[in-house]
Amino acid sequence: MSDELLDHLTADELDGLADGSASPRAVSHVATCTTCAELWEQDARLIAMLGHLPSWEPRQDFSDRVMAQVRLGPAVADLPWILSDRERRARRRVAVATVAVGGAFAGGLAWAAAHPAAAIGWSAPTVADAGHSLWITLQTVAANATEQPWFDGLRDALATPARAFPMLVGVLGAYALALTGLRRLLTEPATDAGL
Amino acid sequence: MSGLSPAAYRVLSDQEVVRHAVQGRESAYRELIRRYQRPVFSLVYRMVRDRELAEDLAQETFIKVLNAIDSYRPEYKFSSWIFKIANNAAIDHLRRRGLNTLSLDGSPHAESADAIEATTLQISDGAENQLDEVASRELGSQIEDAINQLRPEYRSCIILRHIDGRPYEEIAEMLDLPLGTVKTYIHRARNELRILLADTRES
Repeated sequence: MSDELLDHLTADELDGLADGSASPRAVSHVATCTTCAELWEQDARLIAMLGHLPSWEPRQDFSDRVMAQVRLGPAVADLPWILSDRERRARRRVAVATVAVGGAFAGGLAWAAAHPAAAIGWSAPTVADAGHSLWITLQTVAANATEQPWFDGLRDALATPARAFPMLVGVLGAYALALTGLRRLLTEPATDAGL
Repeated sequence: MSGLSPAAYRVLSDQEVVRHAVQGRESAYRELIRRYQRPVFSLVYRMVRDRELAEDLAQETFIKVLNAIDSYRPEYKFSSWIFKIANNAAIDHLRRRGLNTLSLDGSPHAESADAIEATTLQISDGAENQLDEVASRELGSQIEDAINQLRPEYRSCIILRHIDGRPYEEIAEMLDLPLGTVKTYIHRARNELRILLADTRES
């Protein structure tokens, strides 16, 4: 693909031209590029034609036919058919996974209750091994840290409360700032649509 | 909240009308039908291209919505909810019947000349004279025919975006699709329509 092709407007930019939210780049590009201008002209013509298609009306007694089958008054429960196929499939998958995990857990508990000696015999060495591994890991991390060139400086800085306190305040302040920034980044824009 | 006359409901927002409907006020139900019968029927009709069937599916949509009106959540648009159910009804029907594309020339279920005439699309709005009317009808028919050659998913997207004028975000909510997918579908649908209409003109 040549540079010239790479420079053409994207689908989003063409849409922007259609709804008036085009970027300055798109507007200036379409004024100079014949390929994009032609594409945009065809798009604009098509969109205009679609916008002029008429809407259709049901028969006059439509409202009465609907009302004949509507239950007025207090509510009925939330109906499952409101869920789309995708939502129904997702819920089914979650239900199957929940049943599988719950079943396996319950089965394990039942087996352990029926064979307590075997269960303790298997779990005791496992717990001991896990504790030992954790202790070795901690020792390794500590040994590595003390070997680092910055360790002595850090130890000196934290040696007295008068030195440690401002550092602690600084770290907490930076953490709070980071959290605030992250929260702003993750806040969803306001919208009034959706189900 | 007191009962209102049918005319008084016209100035209320959808959310306010729904609040009255939840309390069992028939006028509120009828106002919701009045507001949405035309756009809902148009959407379904364009999807299934059969007037009788579209009436049934639109009716089914309203019955479902109005019978579950208390489960409507006011933080969302009522229009999104009802269009979502209408579109699902039409798509489900097309899948059940295996009808992805349909003829422009009347309902495939029409058995008589009258029925074919009654179910054939008529384009007449805005025509200034008979020639304009014929040309307008012909062009409109070509566009409708081209729309009906699109995949149902593309068809829903292009109808909701460029005929009903719904924003992308609302269409994504209605169709349960990611926003990027909706944009892609609409872009592809426009490309396909351009090609289909060009082919029609050439032939």
